Amino acid sequence: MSFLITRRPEKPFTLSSKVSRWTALGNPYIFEFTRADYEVNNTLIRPAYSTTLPTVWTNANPLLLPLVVQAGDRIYLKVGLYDGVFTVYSVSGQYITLDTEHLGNSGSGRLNLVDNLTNFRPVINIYHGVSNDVIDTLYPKTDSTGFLMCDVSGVIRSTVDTYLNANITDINRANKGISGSFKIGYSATYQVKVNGVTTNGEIEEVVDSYSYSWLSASKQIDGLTADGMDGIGQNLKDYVPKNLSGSNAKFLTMFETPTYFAGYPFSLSFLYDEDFSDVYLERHQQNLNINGGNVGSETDDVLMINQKGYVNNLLVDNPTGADSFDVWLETGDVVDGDYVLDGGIEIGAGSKYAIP
Amino acid sequence: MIVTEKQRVNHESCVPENPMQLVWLNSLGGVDSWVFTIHQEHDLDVKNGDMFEPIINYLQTANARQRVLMKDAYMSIKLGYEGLTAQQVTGIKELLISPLVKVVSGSSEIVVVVKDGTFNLGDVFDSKRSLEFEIVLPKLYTNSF
Repeated sequence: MSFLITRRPEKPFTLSSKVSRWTALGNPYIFEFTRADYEVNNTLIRPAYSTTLPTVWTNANPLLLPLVVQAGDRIYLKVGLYDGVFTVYSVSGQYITLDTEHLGNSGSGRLNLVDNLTNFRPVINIYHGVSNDVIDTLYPKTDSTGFLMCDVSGVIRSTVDTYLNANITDINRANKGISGSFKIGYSATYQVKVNGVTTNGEIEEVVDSYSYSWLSASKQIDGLTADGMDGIGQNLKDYVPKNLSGSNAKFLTMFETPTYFAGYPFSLSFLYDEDFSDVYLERHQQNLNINGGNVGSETDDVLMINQKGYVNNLLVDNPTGADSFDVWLETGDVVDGDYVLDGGIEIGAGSKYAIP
Repeated sequence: MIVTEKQRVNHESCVPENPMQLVWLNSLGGVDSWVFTIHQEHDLDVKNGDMFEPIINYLQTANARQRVLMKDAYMSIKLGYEGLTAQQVTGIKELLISPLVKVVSGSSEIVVVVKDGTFNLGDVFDSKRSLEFEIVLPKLYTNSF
């Protein structure tokens, strides 16, 4: 018996095992779950059980299965050509013979009990990504095939605090009101009839090991790349920098070329992904003249790493004497764990306040 | 290793006359900003709230038949800009759907609302555009209590 996430809201980067788990919260934030009471190895004619009817080979306990499934019961089968509800002809060990014509041989799949497993109730817990507190609990229902599509965007939206600080003074500052992360845990309860006796069952909670990020943003409904669209739906993959060669994330601006007005606050926004936990990010800036030629030399400044995991606003250097400038992010030094804040005392060092 | 695209930013050293900066959250969750010109200042839209009317027994001695107990005042400002390129108009249009727009003046920030139906685009020259719209400052309450 299993109840598992079968599709996560993530998009892979090309030629990499890394994925983007940032989703625009104005769009659905969908997880797909599948209930599978038994795994199926294959379905074919087995003369030992029937010479004309197809027999399903499951991974069930051979002693228990005949007690749970009996002749005349209905089961839902999802294996190749066999997709639907079938009546059981006979059961023996791990094998269930179906009371239906042989449609052909099929490979692996899943089998759900229809008559003997009832009141299947999934429980989805949404945990805050930092505090681990439960934000809310959802009780969605699986459909008749054991499939469940669960949209958690409504739950996360309840935590949004639309906020904007136009006057940041640090090089980068997270906006924790409109971005964040969460984890998802899932469990289920059900009632199963074993040898005619109904008992309560439970699938213990599994908390998904991945953390999912959200941003209070909304993307236009998207489609296939073949249709001229980006093909990544609500995922913010195009805007997620990764510690990865070829990463070319966009900044979160709707201007193709934003404008810095002299003397007024200006910042660019970007997603500070958790992928940069082991390495510092640096802001690089190159001032340019009206012809696009360099003015002065390129500058680089290290970003505050404790702002990661959120959308960040990035200050730029005052481009005095330039007509335009380029800004981008690069990876810097590796985080060695010895970082000491101003005023802190390194381990082993003497304190100037120590009593002599 | 570079991990983002190189974002080109224009540097406008000539700030427009009567400037007012708006900063807003765009639909991508990022912050965009622009410095506009104030075209018309402090248009005041006032709505009367509850009225007090003395009951008939007191009309002989009352010095008024009715009195306004409360007024709502909406102060609006018309902003604009000329000589915008198509991409700049695209960026500024986000103001209309932004969940949060602020006027920034020095270290102070005030949340404002872009008034419905006031966003007007015009042609200027050489495919450049002009635009004008109104923002509404926070509502003022006055009452006679």
